[in-house]
Amino acid sequence: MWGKGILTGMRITMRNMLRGPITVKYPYERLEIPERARWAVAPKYDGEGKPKCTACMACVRACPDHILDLEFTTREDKSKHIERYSYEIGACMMCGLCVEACPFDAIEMSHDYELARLDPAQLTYDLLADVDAAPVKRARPATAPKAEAAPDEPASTEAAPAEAAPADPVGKEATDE
Amino acid sequence: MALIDRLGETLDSGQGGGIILSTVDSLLDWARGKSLWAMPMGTACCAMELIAASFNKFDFDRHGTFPRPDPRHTDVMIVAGTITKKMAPAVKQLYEQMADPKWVIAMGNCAVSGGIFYYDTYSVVRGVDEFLPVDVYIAGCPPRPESLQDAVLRLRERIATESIAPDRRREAVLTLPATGDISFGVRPGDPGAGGESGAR
Repeated sequence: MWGKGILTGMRITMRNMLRGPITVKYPYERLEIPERARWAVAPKYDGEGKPKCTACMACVRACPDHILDLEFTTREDKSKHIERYSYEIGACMMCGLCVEACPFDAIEMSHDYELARLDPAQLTYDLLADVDAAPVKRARPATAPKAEAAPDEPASTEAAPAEAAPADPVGKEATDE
Repeated sequence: MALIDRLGETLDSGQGGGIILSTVDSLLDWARGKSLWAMPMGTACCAMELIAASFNKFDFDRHGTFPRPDPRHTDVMIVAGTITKKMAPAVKQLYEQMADPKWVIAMGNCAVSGGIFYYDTYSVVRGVDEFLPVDVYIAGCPPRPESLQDAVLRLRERIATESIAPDRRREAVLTLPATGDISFGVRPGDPGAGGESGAR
């Protein structure tokens, strides 16, 4: 039909004209961020407000750009104290490999995307500082002496601890969960 | 020294010139901050977010920022994307062609610190602040368009502290949330506590 092109074009124009604006008027209106969106890395806390991080350094090793840095001290009873867990958000590519590597579900990719800073020193900050690392759940204490095993225990319970004797906290945690 | 600097110094030197100076400062800072025409120095993925910020969903013409291709017409250069060592002299030349007063926004992690190329490459400049004086850094890979608008608003707050008298700084009036207050992570008592990812 002669003129069909212009009619189709005008129909699209009229449809858009009657639709209304779609502008999200930031900062007064904000969009809802999808659940799986990856923004700044944030630590997670358990029910009492203590961080779930056990200072295992899996995230530090997994980061491709080496922007996570965890310093901790180990006490005599093998518990850890996190001195500083620093994070350079200015170099983070938000890949999520650290969150995937964490065996204790202690960090997550938060939804905080308003990351503009006037001062570049604020781009490197501490996720955790001067807190105790969470204890790793074990089925038996780390330094149980072998002499305390009672002779009348069934053979299956003695076989299982002997098998897991090189106490692998990650493996234990995986089977516990 | 420029005539306007001399005027500012004269007004600042006492004898009642302060009231004229503060009025002139308010007017100039309002005018400059509310119409920051931007040079979109977009080289990589962040340029997509810069362009998205100028399109109709996240319109930044509402804030007065308008992308102009010519550096001589612009106030702020938004460096969005990876700057390689080959590109750096071109960016510097464009920056020098901008007229004073001028500002720089480093958008995205590549412009802030080298970003994804931070660790191990021979050709990327680790952050635009190696050769340009940056005023606002936007982290993110790439940052959302709203984050760029947030940066323009923060730059506006910074411009509001400037004055035509060379040594004087005006008081900053901050209405945006202070960056130190932003809490990360989900603590018990927050609406999202209980193992869900932090939704705000």
